[in-house]
Amino acid sequence: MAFYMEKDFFEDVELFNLTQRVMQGDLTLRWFDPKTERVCLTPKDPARGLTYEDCNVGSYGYDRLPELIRNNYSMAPRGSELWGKLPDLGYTLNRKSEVWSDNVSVLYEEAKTRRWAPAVDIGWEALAQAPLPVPLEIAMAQMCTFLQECATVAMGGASRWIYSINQEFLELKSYLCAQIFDQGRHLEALRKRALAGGQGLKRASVAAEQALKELLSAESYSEASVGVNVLLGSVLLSLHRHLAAVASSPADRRLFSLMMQDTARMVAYGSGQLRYHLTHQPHQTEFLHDYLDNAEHCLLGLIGNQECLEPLIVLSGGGTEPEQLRRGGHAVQRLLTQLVAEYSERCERAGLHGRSTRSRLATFLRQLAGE
Amino acid sequence: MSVAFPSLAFFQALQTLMRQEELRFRRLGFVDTTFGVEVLASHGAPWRCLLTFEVFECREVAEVASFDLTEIDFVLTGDLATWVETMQNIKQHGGADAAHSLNTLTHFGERMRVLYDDPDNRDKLFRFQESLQQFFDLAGRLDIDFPATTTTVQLSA
Repeated sequence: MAFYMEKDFFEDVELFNLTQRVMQGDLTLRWFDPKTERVCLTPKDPARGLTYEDCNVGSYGYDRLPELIRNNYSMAPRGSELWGKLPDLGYTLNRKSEVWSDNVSVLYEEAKTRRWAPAVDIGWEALAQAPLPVPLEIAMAQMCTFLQECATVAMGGASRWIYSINQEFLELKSYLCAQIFDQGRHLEALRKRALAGGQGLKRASVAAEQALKELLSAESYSEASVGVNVLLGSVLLSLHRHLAAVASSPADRRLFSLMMQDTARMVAYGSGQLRYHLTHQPHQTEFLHDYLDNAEHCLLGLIGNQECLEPLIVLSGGGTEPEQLRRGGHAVQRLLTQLVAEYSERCERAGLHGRSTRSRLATFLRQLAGE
Repeated sequence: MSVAFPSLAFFQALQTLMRQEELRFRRLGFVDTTFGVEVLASHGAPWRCLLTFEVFECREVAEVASFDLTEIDFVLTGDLATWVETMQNIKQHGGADAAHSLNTLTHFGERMRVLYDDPDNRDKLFRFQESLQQFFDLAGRLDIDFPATTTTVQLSA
């Protein structure tokens, strides 16, 4: 164990005597009138209920969070009375502009109400009654295998950092919990989809996993967030939209449509965090450009690996006949061009000006297309 | 009673149906977005409508002369034939099929385009995809009068 408190409560005579007196009705009532703000909140919109936004008042609100947290490294909830020797939990992310995004409370409330359950929200029986042609089902099983590798890192990206973030940023930590749960749901849904289709899981991807590990291993939170939430998030959002668009069954269309919604929230947080970070720390712009100069090759590892690209072409073209593969290849080429354009646009809008021209991705794709 | 497409009455009818289906849309979750629908005519001015969704419902529907993309999230724009084909497909299947979903129609911007100023706001189309699709799918329960010149649109699926 890494931490032992100063005394053993079994040996604490003072606590023993105090507890006995309290049990006999001699209460201290030190907690009864603490130095905290008294509020009585009601929902601004009764239909929406009482949200974190409604609770953004006075000393309880996130608007009053200082840029640097200097006074609370414990687990005490923001707005409570801090007294005595509260423990230091060793948070390393104590600066608001390192982690915050103005949309976190909205995204958290949205994530909770837009939750779905793979067990009952996907038409598994319909899928069983009208199975896909075998080549398409094999391709779908491979995509589900690949996307689980991605979801693991989208989940790990949030969970790796969440404990290091100061508890004062409680709405953000709550949102990251929702993101972890969203990605856990994706793991569940993709696994069930692969196993329900008659094929089971297919092949892990070495190239994709190496790329994912590099994104997951970012050294700072701002690098990790732009790498996982914006870069990987943009890849996944494009893939989910595309797979919903080319889906051969209503069940697959709904599956990827629901996953699209969750992933769009992850991208929204990533874009919002990048925007807030660069607005308050503009000198970090060059550092993040430099990070992406080195990290963007991961996008090629993700989408260029055979375990993603080939089944994607088969699904996009509707089969493995030459004409279907030609049509699928054309569709995937357009998808990749659109993906890179949208990713670059998000970076630019969030404050990474010049990303579109500095990035090698668009040029690489043009070369790939023989232009 | 039938409603014309495109018209304010058409979208007001969808708004009413959405309120009647409160439980279904509550299950889909919060939907908070303001976006435009633009129907491009081969002759004459485009028809434009602004839809405001809050919490679980469509709170406001208004016919507008133009859009300010800096004030709204995005605009779904397509020609009259595409919109009519989409609504006819929804009527035929009780909801859009894969080829006529908002996602498919806008995916590569071939049949419908998404206009926007801020990509973060455009991404609300993806965040609220299921709610918006099911809102449009309510057209399957309406008796719709289509413009005479488009009633022979070929369904592609």
